[in-house]
Amino acid sequence: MQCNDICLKKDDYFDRLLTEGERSEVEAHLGVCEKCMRDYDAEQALRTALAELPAPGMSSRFSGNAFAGARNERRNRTRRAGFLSACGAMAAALVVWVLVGLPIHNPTPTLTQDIADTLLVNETKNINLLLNTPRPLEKAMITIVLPDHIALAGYPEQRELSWQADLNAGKNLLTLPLVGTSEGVVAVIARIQYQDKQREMTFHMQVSRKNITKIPNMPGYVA
Amino acid sequence: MSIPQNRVKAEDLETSLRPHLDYMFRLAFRFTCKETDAEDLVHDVLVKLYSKRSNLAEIENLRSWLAKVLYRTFIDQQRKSWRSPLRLLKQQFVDNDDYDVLDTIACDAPGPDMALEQKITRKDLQEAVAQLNPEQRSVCVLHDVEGYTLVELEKILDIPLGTLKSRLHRARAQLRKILASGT
Repeated sequence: MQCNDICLKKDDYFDRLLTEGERSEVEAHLGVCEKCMRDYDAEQALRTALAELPAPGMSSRFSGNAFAGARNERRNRTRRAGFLSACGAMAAALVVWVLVGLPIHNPTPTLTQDIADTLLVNETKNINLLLNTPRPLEKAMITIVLPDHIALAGYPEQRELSWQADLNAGKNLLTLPLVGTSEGVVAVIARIQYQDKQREMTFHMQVSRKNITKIPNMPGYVA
Repeated sequence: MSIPQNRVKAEDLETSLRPHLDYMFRLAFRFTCKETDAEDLVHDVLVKLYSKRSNLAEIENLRSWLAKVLYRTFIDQQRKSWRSPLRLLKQQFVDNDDYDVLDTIACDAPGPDMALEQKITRKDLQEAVAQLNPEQRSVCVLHDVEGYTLVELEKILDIPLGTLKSRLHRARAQLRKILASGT
């Protein structure tokens, strides 16, 4: 058996899918091939680490309310025939999408790398946040944290902006008038808090002195 | 534990599922890599199960069946997300009890391979697992972390053995690549 064969059979060897004869052949090769033995050790280390990967336990809040919350939501879904209840929102997914530089009348644009996610210095642009939640969230706290190089139009010193909003089920569009103050790449943080849950998202913008239509390798993007 | 054979009431369902709730949460966390998302996933599965509780009487291996329901619900959620054109953000970990227990503990059997010569910290590994695509991550978690055999997964997930093997192979290759690059 050659090194290439070992490489091909490595997974099956670990997963015990080889015949006794094949296993013996693999082990005989490992006994004489230092490189394959190193690969074997590395693979073993990875699998050991995976098998020992810990996971946190449930919070007492969740474990205490899991069934009641699900039962309530089920009941409400039945009663309201498709309308989702706020009482189920405690454990509901809160998905937040942030769109930048898109006109407010265009709620479902196609995302491309050329999206207008740049600001010119001293330019004011409406940045639209599209918050999508599967259930209504009453009095959700929305916080925007602004880094240097960018400011809220009319409030140049305010680095953090928080306000309460009632989010409807589905898409909620919020508009932030931002102005570029100096050149740089910035990470704007959008944070949504509802009851004891919190989600935080980061989106990046570039403030420049000239128009840029594409920002390569921008961190924070999902390809 | 099997579900009582007569008509399943909500209380019966809860009695049967309660011993598995921690397992469901743990598996959901491994799929989603976030505690809040894990809670949401378990919640969605429980809501589903209440409406189908009368069908549960025939389930023999409840734990494996729950793994299947969690997997399918998770993949369904991911597919809905993939269909959205609005995928600009990378979510950050902000949960209160994020990975502090994972930060410093290292695997005690580091391999001599160059890429893995440095200790694989649990935090690095957790982050690498989180970077796998959802289908690779699910299979990797069920097999390499939770210990289901490929033959068991073939039945649980209704995925052909060959597909499972190639998915696992790619998942591990991707993990090694991520760990080696240190990202």
